[in-house]
Amino acid sequence: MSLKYYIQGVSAISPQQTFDRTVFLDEPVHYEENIIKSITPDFKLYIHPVPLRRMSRIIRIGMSAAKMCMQDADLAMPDGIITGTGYGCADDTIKFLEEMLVNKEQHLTPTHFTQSTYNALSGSIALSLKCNNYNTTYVHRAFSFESGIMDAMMQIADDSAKRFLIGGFDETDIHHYTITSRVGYYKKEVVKNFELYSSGTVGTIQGEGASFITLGASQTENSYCTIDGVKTAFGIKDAEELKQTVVKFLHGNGISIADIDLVISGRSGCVVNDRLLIEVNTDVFADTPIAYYKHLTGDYSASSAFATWLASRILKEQKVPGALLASKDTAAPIKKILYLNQYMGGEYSMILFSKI
Amino acid sequence: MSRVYITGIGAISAIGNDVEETFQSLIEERSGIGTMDYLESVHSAIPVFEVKLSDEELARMAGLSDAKGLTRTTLLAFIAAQQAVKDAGMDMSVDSGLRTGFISATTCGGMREFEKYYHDLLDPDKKGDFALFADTLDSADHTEKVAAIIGVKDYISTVSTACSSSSNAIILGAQLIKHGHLDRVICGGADSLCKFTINGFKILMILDSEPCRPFDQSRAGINLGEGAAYIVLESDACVKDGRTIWGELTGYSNTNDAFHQTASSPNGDGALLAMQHAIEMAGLSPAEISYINAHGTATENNDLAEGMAIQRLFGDEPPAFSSTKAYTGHTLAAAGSLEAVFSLLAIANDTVYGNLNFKKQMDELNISPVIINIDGDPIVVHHVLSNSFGFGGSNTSLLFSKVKDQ
Repeated sequence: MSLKYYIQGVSAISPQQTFDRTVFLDEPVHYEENIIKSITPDFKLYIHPVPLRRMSRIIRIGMSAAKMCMQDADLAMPDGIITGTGYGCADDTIKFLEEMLVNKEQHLTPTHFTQSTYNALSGSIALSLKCNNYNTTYVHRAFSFESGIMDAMMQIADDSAKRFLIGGFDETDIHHYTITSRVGYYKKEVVKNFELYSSGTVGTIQGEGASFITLGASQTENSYCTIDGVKTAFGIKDAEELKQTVVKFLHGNGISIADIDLVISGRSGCVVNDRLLIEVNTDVFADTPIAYYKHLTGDYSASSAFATWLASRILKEQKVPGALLASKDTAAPIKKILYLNQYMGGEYSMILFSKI
Repeated sequence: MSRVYITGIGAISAIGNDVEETFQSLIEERSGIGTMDYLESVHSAIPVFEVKLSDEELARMAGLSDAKGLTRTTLLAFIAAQQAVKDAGMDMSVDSGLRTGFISATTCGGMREFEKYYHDLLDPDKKGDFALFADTLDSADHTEKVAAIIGVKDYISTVSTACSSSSNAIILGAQLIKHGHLDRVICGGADSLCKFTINGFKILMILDSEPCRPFDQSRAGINLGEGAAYIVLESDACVKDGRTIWGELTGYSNTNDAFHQTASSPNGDGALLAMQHAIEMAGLSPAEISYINAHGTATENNDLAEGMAIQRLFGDEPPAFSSTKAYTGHTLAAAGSLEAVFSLLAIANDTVYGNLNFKKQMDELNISPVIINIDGDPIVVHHVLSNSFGFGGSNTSLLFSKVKDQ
């Protein structure tokens, strides 16, 4: 019997109300700004007040999401903690940098420096759990969370008793926003988030969030779905190459295009960077419903972790929230979801999920 | 499951622009410590381990006619990765049918350029070549640029777990080979000196203004260095036909100390677990380890924790161990792969490197590092344990072994 990889628990903190499990994007928040921030829970429910005081905002968000996911999966001690992030603890990094530049390298405080490391969250989670097990952080833009899944899947194949806590996190940052707007990352004009895909302009909106999953080889009572495969691709030249990559990925997993019931697309609302995704959506998945999420969360490197939360809940609850602006209704039962992402036109990734 | 062999190595640091120069410095016990010549900082009196080449000279050395927008980290990474590829005899211009990956690690990516041009970058009205550095702080920037120049397409990723980063990049690469996802993978890490890290470690008061003294009673902190190193891992199937093999990666382990965000537990719990697991994975006993290339940063805390862990695992008569940080400085994300190169050179040459600047055994320990090089007879280096630890409680040990038929 071949091994399956079950998502045994999930969590999401995002610019939408996603940490309340009783709702599923029923009343999406509308924004009219290009940087959208997370709706945060009461951190005290998840973090001891003493360490909480010292934690930066993104560490609080990430730590809370990690704890929520562990509660959901009924997991007390993960066999590994893996995080993925693009800019990591961006706020602390910029604060230390600005302090250093303004004070001419004098009179600095160490807190921002120590919290600026990319593995500050995975380390903090280990510390709070007294977890001596595997611990790592991937920092490869929109491949970060995907690398984490791949890593965990291989370790579960090595030892099927192992269960991993895997998360993706990023925080908005006005300085990064301003600087990378130079290279067309973000829109020049302010857009309404629900009009992101019809904006017809270059760039996207900046978002943030933290989402965790618990991955293991056994089907627990609470399990949401399985992850069947993950693939990252860079240096994709044209739509044809992307199409071939997608089809090869599906075939590699023993299925064809017609088996996909729903595509969750990582369209960002940028006319340039979305081009290949749109072509693949139209040509390859002409008959498949396509749903979107970046209008809800904004774009960020680790947004695939949010998409994984989304796919998990859709497959478990067999419901596609209207807030996802799907191109058409999805016929029941929803058995297979393909997540297909692009990030800033550079990285393409795909994750295949199946109903249990 | 395939075994994992190392077929190519490449390195650039303060002790050499290539592997040959690097090994020469190691066996001549020559430190790369010096003055801060290429980085502008108010703390220029602090000793550093710089690669004594300007960015333009690095670009020339790399054979790149247009290096605009390439950070110093990217240039260092490319030079070392290119050496490793060449050493492994990989011809990336032909389609070998082999699936090739590139996994790199960094702690600061393009921070050096980002901090230099930060205010210019923030001002949308300012124009110039500096604008090419807009998104180079992103850790993936150096990985993608190097992969593109080398011609790696099948798999890329980037790791950042502070000072153990490149050791964890090597672990991911090994896993991808074992599980049949890749046939060969270039793994390592790179970091260039920047004001951000100099000031960060300085304010934590773990930056020594004197040459660092790993495992010495008087140790007072690290010296920062810069550099890059990569090793090429290949599967069983790739290493037939009597190719030169530097060694086999027989064990690895990544654990977490779970003690403090930036300090190690005084007994070195995480370090002990990492070494233990790596040795178990290789099916060896501690007594079979020939040499330990310790993390040995020369901070009061690290060397105590690591020394305790070595003593707990090996007893009062451990194998020869030393830190090479007094040769290269602490090169942060590059340290793990740089010391992996040193470990493989130790195996190939049956050499153990003396721990520079050691005078007095630590009060808390009954063990001392080797202080002068040991080479050839009487030592045969079969198995080398290479430790890398970092902030966030990260503890990683790699175990390299001599290939029997070598």
